[in-house]
Amino acid sequence: MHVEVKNLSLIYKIKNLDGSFLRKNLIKKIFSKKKTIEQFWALKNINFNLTNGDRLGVVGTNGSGKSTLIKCLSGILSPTSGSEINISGKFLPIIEPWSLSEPTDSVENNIFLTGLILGFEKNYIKDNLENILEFSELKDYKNFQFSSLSTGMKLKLIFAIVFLLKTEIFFIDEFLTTGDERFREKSYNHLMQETKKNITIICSHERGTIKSFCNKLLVLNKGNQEYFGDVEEGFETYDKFLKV
Amino acid sequence: MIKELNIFIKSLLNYVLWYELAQSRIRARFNRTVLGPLWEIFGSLILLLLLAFLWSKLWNKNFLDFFTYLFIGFTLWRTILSSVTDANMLLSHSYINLIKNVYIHPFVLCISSAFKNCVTLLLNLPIILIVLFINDSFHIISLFYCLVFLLLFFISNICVSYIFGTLCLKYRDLEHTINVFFGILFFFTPIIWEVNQLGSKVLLVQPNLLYHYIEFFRSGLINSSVNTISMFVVFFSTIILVLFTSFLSNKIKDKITYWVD
Repeated sequence: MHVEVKNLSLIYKIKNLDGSFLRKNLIKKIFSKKKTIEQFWALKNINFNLTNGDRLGVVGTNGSGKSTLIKCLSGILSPTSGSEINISGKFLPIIEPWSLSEPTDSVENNIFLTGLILGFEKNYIKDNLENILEFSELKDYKNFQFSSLSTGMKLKLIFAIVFLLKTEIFFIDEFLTTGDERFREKSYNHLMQETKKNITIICSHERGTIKSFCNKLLVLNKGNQEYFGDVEEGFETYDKFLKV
Repeated sequence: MIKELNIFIKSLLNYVLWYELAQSRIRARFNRTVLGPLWEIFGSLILLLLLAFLWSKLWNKNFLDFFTYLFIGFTLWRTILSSVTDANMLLSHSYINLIKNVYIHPFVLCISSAFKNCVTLLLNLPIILIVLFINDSFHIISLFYCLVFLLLFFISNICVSYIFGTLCLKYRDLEHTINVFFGILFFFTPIIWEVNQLGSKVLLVQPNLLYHYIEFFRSGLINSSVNTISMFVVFFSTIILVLFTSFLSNKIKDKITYWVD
């Protein structure tokens, strides 16, 4: 399995709020000869290669393009033409997985629904149901309404769904701050164990997590790739940007 | 466009996902109710019994005949209306988080929405059949027409969900415009009144696409026959809708996620 990214670029068209109204759009099209859409590079010429066992940390200030990168790799956003993304292996995007749930449905049904949305077979989810409930420490809440769980419980459940339904490549966006300290440790150990042979890409602001978990670092600044390589050296580059 | 048609078929074959999404929405809608989806039957049954009683007296018609006519037409109208309302909000509200956070083709969501609404229609089918049986107008051929109609309606519904869903996502005014338009259209469609009441102006209903859909369903069940024009219009519309949906999807497939934000 591998993840190969070549010249990945993405231009965002900045939306003027007026643009979503048909009337104003029509008036603009009829009377205005100028193009009113502004564009900016959310990602510009990103290049990296990852193979089995690689754990890439992606750092950058807010708006540097970390989430956009994960969305492009996951196929949610289509990059600008000329970009190349080659991924071999089953991958799982984890951006805001709690948003996939149906609040009024039961915990059990939500496990099935989230698993199916993430592309797993129903029988496979069924086989892993008990493990998920056990790992998330929610065995007694199986028939509870999802919305009745506390925020921490919901996050634990989603974390368990995502990590117990095995996959080869993980794209994780700001997701390792889940649950209480004990659960975080458990999840972290699980992740370390499970992703030894897999490929993981983590976007995070937590320097400690990235340093202890990742073996490669990608530094993004306003959509540009500033560094790709060793973690320690990468953080030195990142610190320079932070000082500026 | 062929590629889009392939995705359409693949999405249809991904039935576990769209079935579960639809089920989940149905469960959410009737959450904590005792009767659950049966409310769909009882709610309209009580309303239409009273309306049919009143109008059959006012227009001097046989109660059972008029109730059968009204119940079938109104049930389908309600399904059409809820399909359109769901479609308008499908991508801009209902599944906005899903589109933002995971790759899922909008066709799957449209199929799930169409299926959810067809289930509602199917829930009313036993009542329709009982009424037809009591009224002595039940024939096996009626079921054949009904099945053909349900298939065409399901496909049309998916396409309408996609067209309205994406357009309402891009142009948020459309959601409100379509709702107003359908509110008016109810009175221009022969649901509570009959086509023969128009007399010589019967041609006025022909341009109304919904009339042909309702006529196909209603006439197929009551008279065990469907007029050729309505049958042709429904078949032809379904094909046009599929082709247009494929064309539209090909044009805008990469833009939908950007419109969501």
